[in-house]
Amino acid sequence: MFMSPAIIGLLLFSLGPMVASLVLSFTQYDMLSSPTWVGGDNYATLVRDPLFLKSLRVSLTYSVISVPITMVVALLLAMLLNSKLPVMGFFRSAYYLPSVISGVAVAMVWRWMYNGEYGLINVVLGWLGIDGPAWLTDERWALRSLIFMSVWGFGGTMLIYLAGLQSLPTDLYEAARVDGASTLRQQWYITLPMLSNVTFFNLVMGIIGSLQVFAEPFVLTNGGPNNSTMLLPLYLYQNAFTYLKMGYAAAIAWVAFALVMVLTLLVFKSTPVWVHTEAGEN
Amino acid sequence: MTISEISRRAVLGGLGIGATAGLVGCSNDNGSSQSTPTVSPGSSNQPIEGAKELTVYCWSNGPTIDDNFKKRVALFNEQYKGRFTAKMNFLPYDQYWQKAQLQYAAGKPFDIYYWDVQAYAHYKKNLVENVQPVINTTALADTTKFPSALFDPWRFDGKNLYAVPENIQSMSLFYNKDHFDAAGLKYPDETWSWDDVVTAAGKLKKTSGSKVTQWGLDIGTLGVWWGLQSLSWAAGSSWVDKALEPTKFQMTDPATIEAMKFTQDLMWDKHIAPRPEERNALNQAGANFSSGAISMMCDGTWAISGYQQMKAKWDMTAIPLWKGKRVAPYWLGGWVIPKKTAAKTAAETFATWSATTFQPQMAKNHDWIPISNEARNSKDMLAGMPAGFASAFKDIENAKIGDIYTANMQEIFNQVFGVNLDDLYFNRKTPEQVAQKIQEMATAKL
Repeated sequence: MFMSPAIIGLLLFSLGPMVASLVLSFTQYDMLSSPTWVGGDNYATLVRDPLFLKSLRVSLTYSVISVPITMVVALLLAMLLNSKLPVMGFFRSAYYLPSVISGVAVAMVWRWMYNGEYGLINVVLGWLGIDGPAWLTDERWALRSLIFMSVWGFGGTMLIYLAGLQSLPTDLYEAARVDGASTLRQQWYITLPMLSNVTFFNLVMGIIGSLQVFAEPFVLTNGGPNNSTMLLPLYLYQNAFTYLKMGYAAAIAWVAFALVMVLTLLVFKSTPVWVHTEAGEN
Repeated sequence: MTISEISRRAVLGGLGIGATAGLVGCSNDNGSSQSTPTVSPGSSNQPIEGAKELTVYCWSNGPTIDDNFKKRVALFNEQYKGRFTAKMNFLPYDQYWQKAQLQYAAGKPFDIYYWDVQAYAHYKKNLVENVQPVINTTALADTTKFPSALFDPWRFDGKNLYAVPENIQSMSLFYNKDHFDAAGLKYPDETWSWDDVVTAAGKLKKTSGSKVTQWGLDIGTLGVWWGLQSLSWAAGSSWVDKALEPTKFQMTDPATIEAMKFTQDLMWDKHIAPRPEERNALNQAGANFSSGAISMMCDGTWAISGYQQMKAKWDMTAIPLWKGKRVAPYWLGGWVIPKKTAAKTAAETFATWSATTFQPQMAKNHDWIPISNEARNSKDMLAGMPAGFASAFKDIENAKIGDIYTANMQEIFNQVFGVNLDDLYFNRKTPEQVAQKIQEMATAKL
């Protein structure tokens, strides 16, 4: 009985819409007339849709580059912030701050920074004698710019790493120091393996999050130039709300869901190789 | 004069015209089951169908125009006191159509909403009212007072109107008079060709080191597909075989390819207009025609009210001649009434009142351009407008609709025109390649 509000909420607002979208993905539905059953046509069309395939490629590229870089930056900063210095509280807050700002607000700030003529980045590069590119309008740089911006949101990952670092037993480091291990070796042989479960969690969340990025490309590039930043959620949105192809958009959503599932399963399957557990087993 | 000062005579006169036209009656031959009104909407002897409270939906067009819309509704409420009460509801453009669609999906469509090309899909689904019978009871049916031939693109079934037109827009050449004065150049006028524009733009462009501090020209809306198509029209071609439900694209016509090359060259060969990256940077920095960074620019006439805030002196004229001819695009603005509107009579009254009685006030407001010939050419309209406004609209009867009506036009705009014209303007592809690509992709989507 006590669980019923949560169960009802789950059924109404999560499972219900999921089942509805699954059914919709087998229909042609423009919201203006009743859905028409088309079987697997939407999925068949997806395979032949060059823009969908491109957006899939863009999303995977974004994910493959953005997630590891964010994790490395987050880990390095977490290690620095794990020091016992009195000013660390300020730095922890400062580094976490970007993560609590709305994605649209962040995107607007970056939009100004990325301005090809007057943006902060190109102005600074200009001082160094470098003629900066048109970050958001040059096809070669637009996706890189989004990835670079995504790294700025490392705060959440960093915080989880920081919590993991603070839970590591100090006796292992003391023993390593007694054995003459350098700081670098201590990090490599103790910190990284002991944090592998945290890394696993951050990796899974990072993959899921990176395949759901929407606000930043929507505000900054709207998928352009030449669809070079057409991430999957943006393509889904356009199909659903600009072209009113709800069934097709639902099919995209389910393919994206399947993609996340497959990648997550692969990460899970790989855990015996690299995730260290409390029991000392790999 | 403010909106509240509109003369009672004008109001009554408008109502009189409506009532007189109502006596003429009409025939409804669209085969629909809608009733055939014989009395103009809003007449006190007309029975009211649906609610008396009306919510008018429009997307937000900025504070000035939004404010005028509110005043318009206030005036409507004053004139129809005790009969109808309207209120405005503004939405951001990108949410407007989503909301309209969702309301249709929920079976509770907007009472009345402002037209844009997306509404054509609503017509295709048989969701919007055939307003021809209603229009036939009003002055709007008078072909001597309204440019009725320009309504034809909205006669989707070839006979009847499915939206009530109330204003008209076109494309013009805007120029900064201060820049021309400083350069000692003659102002552009309707005799100018694109060659004249190119020559003047070269003289108006100013640089400081490697930076351009003043651009002689910005391609502006010439870079939008309909702007580019105006050159094709002038050269006797067109992008599609017909604007309503086209069956083929004609992009590879040499006239269209030449138009594409001309526009591309303005940025890349002659470099008298900023290239896309330069344009984006300028726009983001707020350096545009309004700020005095650009000397000449093609733009829609809807930009006039925005330019009225400019510090520099400016004017406008008809778009330049191309191959010795000029065919400007035009667009109709107006009201769509869903078949399932909850306030049928109120919606019809508001729409037709906006298109007739309200026209003189619209002329005074200087935001939208009235559809009524008299109001559009009135002293009130011309008084507060740039001197070249009249010349920009002189050839309006020869203009062509700047839309293409197919249910999936948004998809073609974004996925075909947008991407491929980007390739053209970024100089990544030749005009021939772009034309060929648009031809193939757009035809596949028809």
